[in-house]
Amino acid sequence: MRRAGPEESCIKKFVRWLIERTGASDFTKTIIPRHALHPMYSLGGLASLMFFLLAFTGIIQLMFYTPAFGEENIAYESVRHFTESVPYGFVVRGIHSYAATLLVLLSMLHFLRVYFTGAYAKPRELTYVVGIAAGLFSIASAFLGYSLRMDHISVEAMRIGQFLVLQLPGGNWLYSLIFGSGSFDEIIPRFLALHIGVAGLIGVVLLLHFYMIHAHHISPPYDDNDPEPAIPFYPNFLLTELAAAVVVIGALVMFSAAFPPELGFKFVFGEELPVGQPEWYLMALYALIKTGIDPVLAGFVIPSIGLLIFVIMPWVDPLYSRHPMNRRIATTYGLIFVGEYVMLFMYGQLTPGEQIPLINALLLSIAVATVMGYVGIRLTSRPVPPKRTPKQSSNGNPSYAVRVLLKNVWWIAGLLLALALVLGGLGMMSHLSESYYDAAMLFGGSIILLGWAFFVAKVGLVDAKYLT
Amino acid sequence: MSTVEHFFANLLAATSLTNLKNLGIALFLALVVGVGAIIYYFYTKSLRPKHNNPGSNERTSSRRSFLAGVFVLALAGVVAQFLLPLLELLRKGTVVTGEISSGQEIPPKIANVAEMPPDSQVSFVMRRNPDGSPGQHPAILIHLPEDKVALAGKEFVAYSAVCTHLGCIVGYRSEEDVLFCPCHAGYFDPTNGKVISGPPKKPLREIKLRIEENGDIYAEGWA
Repeated sequence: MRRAGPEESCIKKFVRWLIERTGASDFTKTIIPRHALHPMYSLGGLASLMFFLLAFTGIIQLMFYTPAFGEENIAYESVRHFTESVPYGFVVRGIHSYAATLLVLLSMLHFLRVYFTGAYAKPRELTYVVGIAAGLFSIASAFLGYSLRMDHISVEAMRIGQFLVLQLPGGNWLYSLIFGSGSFDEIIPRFLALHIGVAGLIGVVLLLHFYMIHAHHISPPYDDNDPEPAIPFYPNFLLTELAAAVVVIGALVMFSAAFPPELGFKFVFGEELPVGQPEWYLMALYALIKTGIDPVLAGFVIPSIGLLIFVIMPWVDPLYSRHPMNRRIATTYGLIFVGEYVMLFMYGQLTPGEQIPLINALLLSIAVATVMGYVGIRLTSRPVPPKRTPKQSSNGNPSYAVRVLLKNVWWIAGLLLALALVLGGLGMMSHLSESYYDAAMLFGGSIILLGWAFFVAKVGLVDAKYLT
Repeated sequence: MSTVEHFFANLLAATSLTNLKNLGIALFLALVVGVGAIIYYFYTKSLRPKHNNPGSNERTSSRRSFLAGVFVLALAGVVAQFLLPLLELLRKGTVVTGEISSGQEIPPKIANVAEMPPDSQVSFVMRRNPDGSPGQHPAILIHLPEDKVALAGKEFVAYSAVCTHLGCIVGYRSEEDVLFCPCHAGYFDPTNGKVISGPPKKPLREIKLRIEENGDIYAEGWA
């Protein structure tokens, strides 16, 4: 029962006690700049959400995966069994598969945002380097993970991985270290262990990343143009992120129920299968290997140099301004790298199962480098002066639309909740009649609506005070 | 398209007669709870103290508690819709098991001479890698066509099927009488395993064969 006056409800008291005793009052006092809610600045947060989803769905799949090849590809059979016969197996595998792709994609986009807006500037150099490590571990873990399915794509990927390791100096020693004797019965358990181990490494590296972000705060916008005012991390920002996470999870559930990721052809010795193509994020590397130059050069040296330049960029780039048009070296190199990556990706994608003539690749890469280099130099030819006048804030005087929204927020939230509960009830019925496909679709839709209801309720509860 | 159709077909099935009974029960329960809540609200209205703190009238206060209710219910809904499938999965999921290979050393029988007409191929697995370590190495057995028999000096030949370029699996193309790697178009000579054209540099490793009296072909080991 709510009482008037300064007395608090017991829940509020408990929350306050919890925050104080867990030492989290540091977080509750943190202020987040407004631009952190911009989609461009949410990519990293979304990527870490994908990481947690991957951990969760991975643990479930681990209970049902049989890491053995045996006489006839038990690993593949166990994956197929999990998708076809275990209730909601297809959703769990779908989320794991799509979240892995999204983790790599979002990490790349997050990297590009950080790089081009110069967010690695002092004092955030190490946050940047640690982030690159997390991205590389993600790609390694994704590679190891999609090898575990043991379909024709996985086997192809494993073969190329084995070949590349053998080409390295001390390759035989490394080979037996990673692959054991090289039989599938030995490779699969090793890959499973490494997949989880590398994922654990991502977790550790991410913790470091978060810690450093907390220590140095979120970087200000590159052009010093932040719409005031800043918002409190707790509860406003935290709850917004939670609502967004719930909506994204619901969308992923629905998406993986509607379009379950395909399982390739079962790999069996002596059966002819189509040649598998690598996943899109390894396609550029694969195209480089396909040009027929020395595999060590194509598989290790060239990508390492490309990445190393990114790593040392915080110490190379002169930082009198963080605006991308004021940083000639960084912007031009970034554009050239992106151009080459996209070119190689497209070339690889368009020539499945064919060799790429070296001369074509060389001419194309020179052309791409010239064009992108020209664009980069033109873009950075005139310095952009820093903006000194921040945008006029609308604080204390919300627009008509905002006021109407705030006035009607309670029934919008109620309607969303009611719709979500109807969908959830229908899902429950499908669940009880064991049609898990429909149940997953309906639960996914319901979770999306619940996320929105959560968001709208949050707007009414914590933002109203702050907007008006 | 079929996934969508499948979804709607199942939606229709879910609203069938037996399920309608469940829906009826659910609706009745919802009605009972709802009516109960309304009666309780009006019955206790006079018992509740009036809000009189400045800056918040009763209207906004009740809206705030309503929103808090939505907030909690939404969270509970999300948690429930996670737990329900998860419990079902963990309770009813089963695991596949199978026979683990024993890693036996007996050279496996590949085929019988009678089964293999000239110009044909059979794939098999070597129990050892070319460097002598235990493993599962894909290999290929070829019955050479007549014109190649004289060149090779024997009718049956077997090679490692792993391309020496990037490790793809090579196959025998009878129309061109070559071993062909589909990944990057590597061509090998079936009489001796040497490279004809393409990116591979090294020849395919040959396999020693033993043919029994009854025509059974065995892989003896790496040549």
